[in-house]
Amino acid sequence: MKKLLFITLVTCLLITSKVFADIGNTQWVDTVTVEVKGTDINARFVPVVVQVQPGDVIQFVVREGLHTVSAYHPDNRRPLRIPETAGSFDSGLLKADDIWFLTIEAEGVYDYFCLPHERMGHVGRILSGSVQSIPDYPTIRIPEAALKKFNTETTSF
Amino acid sequence: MKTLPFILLTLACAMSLNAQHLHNGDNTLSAGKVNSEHSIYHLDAQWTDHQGDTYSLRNFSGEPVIVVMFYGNCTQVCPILIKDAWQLYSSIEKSIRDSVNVLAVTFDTKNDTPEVLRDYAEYEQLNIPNWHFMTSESANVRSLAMMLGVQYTKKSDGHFAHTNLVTVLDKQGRIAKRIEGLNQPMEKTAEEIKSIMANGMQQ
Repeated sequence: MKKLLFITLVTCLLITSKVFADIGNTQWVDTVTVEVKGTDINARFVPVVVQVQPGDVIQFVVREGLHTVSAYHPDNRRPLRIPETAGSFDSGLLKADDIWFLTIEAEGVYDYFCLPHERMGHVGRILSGSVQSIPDYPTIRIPEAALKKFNTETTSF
Repeated sequence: MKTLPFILLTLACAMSLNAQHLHNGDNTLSAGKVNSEHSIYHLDAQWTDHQGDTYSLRNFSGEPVIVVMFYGNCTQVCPILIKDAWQLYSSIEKSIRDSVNVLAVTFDTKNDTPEVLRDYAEYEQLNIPNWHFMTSESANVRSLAMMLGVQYTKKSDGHFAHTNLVTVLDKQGRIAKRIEGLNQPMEKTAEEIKSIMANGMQQ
């Protein structure tokens, strides 16, 4: 009887450890939502900063107005303000009720803007993985309102 | 009393016509018809670009030209329209790109002075050779818009409703291609510009 109990216990332990090992190896993909709200001077990404993990998907849900989600990247005629290993992105024109998905692959800080409203400070930031500090990204030719938002609303993480 | 139904009918017709031209909410007008046999280089007017240089449109004859009409204070589609023009320009084979001029012509002749246009070009990082952000007298802008089939109207809030159109002119200043709408694929049009360069007599 004792022997049977011992075998059962060992079997349970093996099964349990296998289950936990599988959980540890699983790459959980999370979906984070950023709302795109307002028009003109009230245009904004909510929240303005999101924390994600590499592999996560961000869905941008447009509530009103016409907007884009565009990376600070030379492909979009802007200085590079995303990780060097990451590819550029640009949603194209989005209108109310549109949803656009962005998959974040690399660790680091991704700054992005809305093409029609960048001059009004319509920018956002993605922190991917373990970010210890904000890189010393270039600021040349970035509108004052956009820089102000980066410096005041996106620095706490 | 008999005039009331007439007034209501007239109002209904006017609203119906207006509804036919306004799309995507309130700011987009459909492109008008054009005669592709006419050269815009027949327009005899002086234009000033963001560098303060003055031009007649016929100064650009002999090479393909990309024309886009916009205004600097636009907070909706114009930045995307300018991006589309840049997308087309950058899709042109490098070896011939230097022979193609881009004319970005403002509707807003009141606010978009050459100095404002220079700032705009700097901001858009398009203060580069062959790109001309241009203004002229209102009547000249209207004439050009009519020849290109670009419709625009100033609204009470100071913004413009307008057609979203990128136009390619052949070497003689005739309309060779029109791309209406935003975020359109540009590769085929870039090839057509190459063909214009090669043939010289593209219709």
